[in-house]
Amino acid sequence: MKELTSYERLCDLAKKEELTTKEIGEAASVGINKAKELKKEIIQWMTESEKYRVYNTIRIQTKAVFEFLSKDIDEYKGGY
Amino acid sequence: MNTKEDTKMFEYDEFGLFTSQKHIDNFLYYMTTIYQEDFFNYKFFALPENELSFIYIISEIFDYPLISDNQDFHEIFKNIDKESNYIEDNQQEVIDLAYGFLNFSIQISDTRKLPLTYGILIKNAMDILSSNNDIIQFKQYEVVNIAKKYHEQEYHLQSDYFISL
Repeated sequence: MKELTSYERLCDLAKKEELTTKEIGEAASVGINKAKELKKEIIQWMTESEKYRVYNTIRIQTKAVFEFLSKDIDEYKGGY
Repeated sequence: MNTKEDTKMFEYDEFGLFTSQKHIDNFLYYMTTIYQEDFFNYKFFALPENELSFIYIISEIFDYPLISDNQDFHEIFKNIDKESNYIEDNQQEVIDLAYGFLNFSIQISDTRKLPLTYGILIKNAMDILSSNNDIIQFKQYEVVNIAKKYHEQEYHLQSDYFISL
């Protein structure tokens, strides 16, 4: 079972501009297989909602990932 | 007014997925005729990956689209059969692989004799077919996304042209 990601690690991720599949998995506290599905869902949501533009499918904007996971990015950006 | 040649065709194609102008033009034609609804509503993951990889190869091999409006895959098969007398051996080999991709099968064979562009074509088509198992990049989405952006760019150029008149 995957452990919950620590607050410190989430703060580190929030400061990044874009996230890879592995980092998306960390942000959501899921493994790599779930992260793959999650990334697909996020990309689909980004295009359908037209809030964000998808430049490529390698890395996804951190802001979009946090918004999709209903996490407040500003809370984590403040640091620890 | 920019002509078609002046525009940067590969502006959104940062990974070089399309090899030539006719490749992206033909691919776009198939997208807008066969998958009209999903293509215009941005449902790129809903498109079937086997058919996409087949179309991806076919649009580079032939110089023009093999179907006209309101036609489907059966017409493509028929027209490939009609063209079979004029197809070179190299092209026939790639088309056979494409038929395999359409049936979700990847046959491994020696492709060293093929020209470099065909090698890249086969590699990308395999990536499109196995896009669901890819953790880094979804090529299925990527290819259609480039075509869509290219379509938007063309549309804007056209409307600019009519305004300038």
